[in-house]
Amino acid sequence: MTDGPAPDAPANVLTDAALVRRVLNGNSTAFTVLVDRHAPACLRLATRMLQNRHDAEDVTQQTLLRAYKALGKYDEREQYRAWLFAILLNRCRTAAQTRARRLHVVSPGLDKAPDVAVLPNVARAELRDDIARAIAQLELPYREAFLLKHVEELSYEEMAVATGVGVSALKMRVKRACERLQILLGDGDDAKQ
Amino acid sequence: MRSNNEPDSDAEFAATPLLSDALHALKEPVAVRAEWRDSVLREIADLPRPQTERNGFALWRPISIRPLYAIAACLAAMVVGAVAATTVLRPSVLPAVANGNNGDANHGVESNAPVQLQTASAGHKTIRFALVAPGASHVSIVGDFNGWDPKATPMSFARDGNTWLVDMPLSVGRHLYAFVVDGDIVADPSAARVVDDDFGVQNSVVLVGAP
Repeated sequence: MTDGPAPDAPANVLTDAALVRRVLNGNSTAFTVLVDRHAPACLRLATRMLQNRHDAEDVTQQTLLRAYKALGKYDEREQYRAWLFAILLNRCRTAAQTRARRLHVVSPGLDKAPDVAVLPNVARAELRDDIARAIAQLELPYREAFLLKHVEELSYEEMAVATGVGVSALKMRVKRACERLQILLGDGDDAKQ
Repeated sequence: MRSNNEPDSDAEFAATPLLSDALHALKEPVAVRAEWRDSVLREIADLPRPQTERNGFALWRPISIRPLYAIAACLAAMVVGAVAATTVLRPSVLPAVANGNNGDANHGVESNAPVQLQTASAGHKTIRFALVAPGASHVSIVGDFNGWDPKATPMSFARDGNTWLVDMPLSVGRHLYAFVVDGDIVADPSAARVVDDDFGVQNSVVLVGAP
């Protein structure tokens, strides 16, 4: 039985938990590996959540800084990604509320027009726009649940860690989000009526 | 286990091809800009190194113990405790007090607190003190009743050859005392209470009840 990775093991082959231990032991460069490993997913989730690349970069940056400061509180029994997403979702919620207030005051109705340019360049540009609008119309809890499950592919247990919501409630949210998206995309029975 | 009312979101989702197409788009990675990454890492480098939580809550971790291991550990602890008790507390090692119940097979000597024998006079009772100290050559009792004089009240051997005895008429009330075994002051191991005197020596307490 091994006691873990060798002390001189390359950082990029270590588990998240081993990297966290290295950071806590004074090896701050190990956190660079964690950033490179998880920043893309964080950016993608934040972008899909907020529909704005600039806001997504802001909240992801805040998330990574907060995670670094709070690294001593990380419990190795949890997936690091789920723990990180929990911080990110809190920042997203705060950013969404702040932006909603700002848009409501400055230019009512702008929040209904998502920044479709943040979506990837896929062949079906029309579908891309439709998806962006549909996602933007989902209420935040349903948007979170859908993206975590079907885009980031977290398990329901990891989702529970990330959101603080029970597994049954999350399953219900995912189901309703899917139904709502079908309608919004014109793919469900309701949309045909 | 999934309940009947719990939705199977994966099955629901698999049935919607348009959503599947949408997912392919949503799963496309978002490029990480190099400037953004560098600025994040610079900010992190300026932060103090994170510390491992050292408070009690953080260090506390529930541990799982297999039941058989737990039972074995309890039994082992009981055996160790029993061995320690018989080794450390056996009468030949520690002094004990007789209960004055003469005439039994043990010559009336057992480990017990001082025993009131009879009323000596009005307001006084005779108390029997006993100490098991087989290796001692001279034992006496000192207390507030004899001015803490080691020579004032010598104790004598009982018939068992191990126990030192003395009967003391004491006034009703609370008295402090100790034994002097070959010059060393020894607190009564059977005393109800032990208090520190002004010199850091432990004394024993006997309460003499009213008639």
